[in-house]
Amino acid sequence: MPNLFSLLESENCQIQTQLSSAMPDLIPTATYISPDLKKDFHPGCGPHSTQGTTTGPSDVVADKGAIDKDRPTEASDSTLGELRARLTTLQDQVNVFLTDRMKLGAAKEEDDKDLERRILDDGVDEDDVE
Amino acid sequence: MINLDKHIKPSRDYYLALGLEGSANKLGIGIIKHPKGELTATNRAEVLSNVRDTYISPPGEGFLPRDTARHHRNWVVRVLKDALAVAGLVGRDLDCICFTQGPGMGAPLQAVVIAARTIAQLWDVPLVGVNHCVGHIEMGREITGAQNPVVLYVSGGNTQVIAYSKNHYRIFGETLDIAIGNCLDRFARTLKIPNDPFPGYNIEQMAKRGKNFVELPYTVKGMDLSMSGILAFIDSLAGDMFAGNKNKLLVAADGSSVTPEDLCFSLQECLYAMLVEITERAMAHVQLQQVLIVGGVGSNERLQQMMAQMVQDRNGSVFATDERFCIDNGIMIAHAGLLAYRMGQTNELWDTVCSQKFRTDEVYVNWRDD
Amino acid sequence: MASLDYIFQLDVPFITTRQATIALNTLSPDPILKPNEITVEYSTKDTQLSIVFKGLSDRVIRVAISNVIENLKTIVECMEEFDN
Repeated sequence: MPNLFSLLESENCQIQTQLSSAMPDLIPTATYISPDLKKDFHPGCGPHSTQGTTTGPSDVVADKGAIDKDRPTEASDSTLGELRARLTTLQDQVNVFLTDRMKLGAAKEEDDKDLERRILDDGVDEDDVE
Repeated sequence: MINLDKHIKPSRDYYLALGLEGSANKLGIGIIKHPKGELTATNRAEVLSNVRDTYISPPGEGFLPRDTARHHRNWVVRVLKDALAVAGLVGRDLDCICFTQGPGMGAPLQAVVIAARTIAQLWDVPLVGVNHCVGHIEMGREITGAQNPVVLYVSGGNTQVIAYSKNHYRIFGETLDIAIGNCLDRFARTLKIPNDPFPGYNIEQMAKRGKNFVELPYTVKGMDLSMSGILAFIDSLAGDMFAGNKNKLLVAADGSSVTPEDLCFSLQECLYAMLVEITERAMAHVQLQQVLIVGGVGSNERLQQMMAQMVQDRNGSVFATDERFCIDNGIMIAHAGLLAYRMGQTNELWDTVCSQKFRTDEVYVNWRDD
Repeated sequence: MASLDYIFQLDVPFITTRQATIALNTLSPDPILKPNEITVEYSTKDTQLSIVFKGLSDRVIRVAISNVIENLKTIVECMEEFDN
């Protein structure tokens, strides 16, 4: 159940956009629950884009100054296109939030880096890339 | 005689299959048409579209699974659209959607199968999981007309010598550690050669300018071969060369200094001689006189030349495909997948999980009865 | 066994029930690699797909959530282009 603030936000956006489209907006939402904190996520009014800030190329490649020719396509002018853009916004919000939480948590850094590397790259060491 | 037409659509006398390939850094999508009946020299498969986009990493870097998967995710719908447009078809025209189920890199394979599952349900078209190696083999047979050759499959991710026997492609010899393409790619990184169009191609061009042969370890082991020791050895030589260290191996017979071109030349000569030896061993074992080279490294002219010399001495012949088909592509997946589909093989959604280690010999080749 | 105390629920609305079902069928076949560290459950209610992640830590669920959303974006883009 979204909290009161995000409910008002979403109603506000809906009033604005329902004037222009016949199809109801598709708005993804999320809820986070941990032992010490509960938080709701809502993409907000936008503007939204499929060019996410937390889903770029990996640092290894970005640091080489390579031009990113593999960015996502722009959202089409459609309900589903807007959904894809809103999902991107939500994804960025969640990634930033959880990354901040992780820094606060200050867990064993090396162990966590290895866990992430294992999950994302199936345990492939950077020296062992194909 | 096998009946290949038990699953043909009643209103048609041909089949249309879409194939999606993304097991390494190439994203390939193609559409193939099979006429009814057995495929023969006069009843050929037809390529309706063959679209590919390659993820190229910066020089000195290999391609990481997460970046490769990102590339495939962000390009798959565009490439799908292109493949359909070039063929002049819509999704519902298809008999089946074929996808690489393995072997290969986990995240990139998964990025592609997600799209395959979605469009299969949107268009109500069955899915067929395909083994990447079998894709290369069947495409090679179809394009070259080689009916029952010993297959040398050489790429960035695979090095196998294969021969058909009783409904399976059996592995007669293979690498004990790294694939030959991987060995070449990693040496290219050591030399900081560009990755465009692909590192092995640039090594080949440098090798053509090499003159001095440097002796490298030669590591054939029975029917198999090992390459990681050779890579370590030549990386170390290159390290000495760049650092200006004294190393007697880096001094040619005429007193001149060994160059990076000489190292590329030497590496190719050594690796390819090993491949020729294990291929010859397999030919003798199964008593076959044809060799078919498939996979990206198969486009190398020096390898083709050395293989041809050996095969001619045995009164046989060598077959190879051009870069449209030897480099990873979607058409080979569509072709091998369609052969399986015609024999009743499809995959339910729960059975479309990809596997990094899908073995060539696991596939039931029921479209052949020889 | 350590309990999976870090919970995240993602709700994604689609235009039709069919689309939500297709998304669920596309995401659910792939097994979770480390089930003692994280579980993922998918369900649909009418046109909405819900995904519940339960994990050992913020880091574990962050990677899984971002991966699933990446896949969702692919699914939605396929529908954008091909579901007419």
